[in-house]
Amino acid sequence: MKASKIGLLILVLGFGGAIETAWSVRQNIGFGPQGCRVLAGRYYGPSFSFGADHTQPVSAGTGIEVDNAFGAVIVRAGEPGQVKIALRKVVFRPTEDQARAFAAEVQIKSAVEGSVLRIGNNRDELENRGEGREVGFETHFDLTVPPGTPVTVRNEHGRVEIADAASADVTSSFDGVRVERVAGGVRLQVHHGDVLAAGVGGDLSLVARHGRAEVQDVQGRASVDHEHGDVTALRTGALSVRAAHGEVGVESVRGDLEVHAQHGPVTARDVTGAATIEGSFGDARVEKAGGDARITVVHGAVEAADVAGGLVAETSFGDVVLARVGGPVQVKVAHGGVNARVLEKGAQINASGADVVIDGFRGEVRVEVERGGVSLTPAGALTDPVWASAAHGAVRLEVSAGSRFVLDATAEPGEVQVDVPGLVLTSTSAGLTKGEMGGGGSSVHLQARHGDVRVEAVTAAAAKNP
Amino acid sequence: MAASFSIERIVIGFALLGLGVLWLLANAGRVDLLSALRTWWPLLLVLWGGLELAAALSRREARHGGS
Repeated sequence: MKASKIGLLILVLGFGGAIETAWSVRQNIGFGPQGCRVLAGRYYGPSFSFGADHTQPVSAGTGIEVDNAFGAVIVRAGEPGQVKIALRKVVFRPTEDQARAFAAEVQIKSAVEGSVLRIGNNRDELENRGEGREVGFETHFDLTVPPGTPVTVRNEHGRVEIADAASADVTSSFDGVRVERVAGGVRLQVHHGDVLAAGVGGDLSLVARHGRAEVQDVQGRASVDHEHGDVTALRTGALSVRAAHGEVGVESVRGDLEVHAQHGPVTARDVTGAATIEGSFGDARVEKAGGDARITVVHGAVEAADVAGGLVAETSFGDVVLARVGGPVQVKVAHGGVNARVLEKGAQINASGADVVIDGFRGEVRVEVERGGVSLTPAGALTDPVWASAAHGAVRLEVSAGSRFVLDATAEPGEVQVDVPGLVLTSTSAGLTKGEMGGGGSSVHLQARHGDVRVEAVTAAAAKNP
Repeated sequence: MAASFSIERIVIGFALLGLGVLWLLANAGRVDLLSALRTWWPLLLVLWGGLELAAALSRREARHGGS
């Protein structure tokens, strides 16, 4: 064969290959408003919709179980005594005639077994046949059931909506789930989709991944286990949340709140019971808790306000801000400071790396700070013990008239400055001052290493620090 | 006559002719160029094969006629 023929053959075959490649690329890659998408599979290209209906008489109290894939399942309340099944079949075929012929083979399957009506379709049978394996088709169920029907749905690749049911049990993936106005309990397991559960009369159990989870108006206990998405819970009973890689927002909990969160901030407002929050790599905030609050965070700030009970907070690499805590406070913070206002039953605080400021406290206070100062202002006359120690920072105490205590202040190296009318100094030497006020009382021990100690009257302090 | 008969040139000629016509129709909005090319490009192989067969038969007849 001549070289020219071989060359031409290569040229023609190369031309054909280029054309085939271009065709394949055009068929399988789409450019549009959402960017570039690589498309493949049975569920692309032209599609046609066809409908089918079936009405199934049922006795009172009959539950329904729906099994579906590749299509939505919508369940709503209708007339008593019957279940109306509307199936919309979407078939992906090049022509309408081909799609119609295939859709005619897609059938509704419904059968009453005991007290349950099972609803589905013959997808498995069709997909076990040659043609069915290659044809993409969606089955969208729209069901009208008697009011107060227990509903169970298993679905994949399609959204699920249930309203006005007696109870709901949903397992779904790759689309959203919406459950509203359910008289009894709700159980949801959802992967890759947003979830809304609103108006649940009983308990709620929600396990979700990869989406946003929203819970509202749950009368019973609520349990949420969620990863890779934000969690919002409003107006629930006692609430337990396990979350990772997303924000957690909770408001109006009737009972105790327990949150275990990783890699996301947590905010809880208006909890009637105790609030327990464990988190990491995100801030934690509690506002208005009726019981105790226990907040443990790794790498995040802690903020708590209007806590009726005691508070235990532990964190690192973030500050702790407290306001109006009714019970005893216990704080441990590494690489962060503490700013507290109105602590009713004292505090025990360990901090490092920043200052500790307590403005308006009652009860016994014990503060130890590394690489930071301490500033203490009692809410009234100081009669309870105070123990404050600061390394590489100053210690400052404001004293009101009517206080009764025995002072023991040391600053090494540093100075002790006392400027309180009525505070009688009994011993003064370099870096060490002792005295008493109001005839003595509780022990007030102030200690600064590499810093000064200053004790002053509230009015004087206010004048100096307006 | 046989010396001026070049199958390769005929194939290239038809290919260019076909490509030009299709491109022209595509620009006029009458056909989808890529779709038409994808459908009809094997015709080049058919045409070439036919010409090779015709040439082989022509050579054979010329040889037999000469003897």
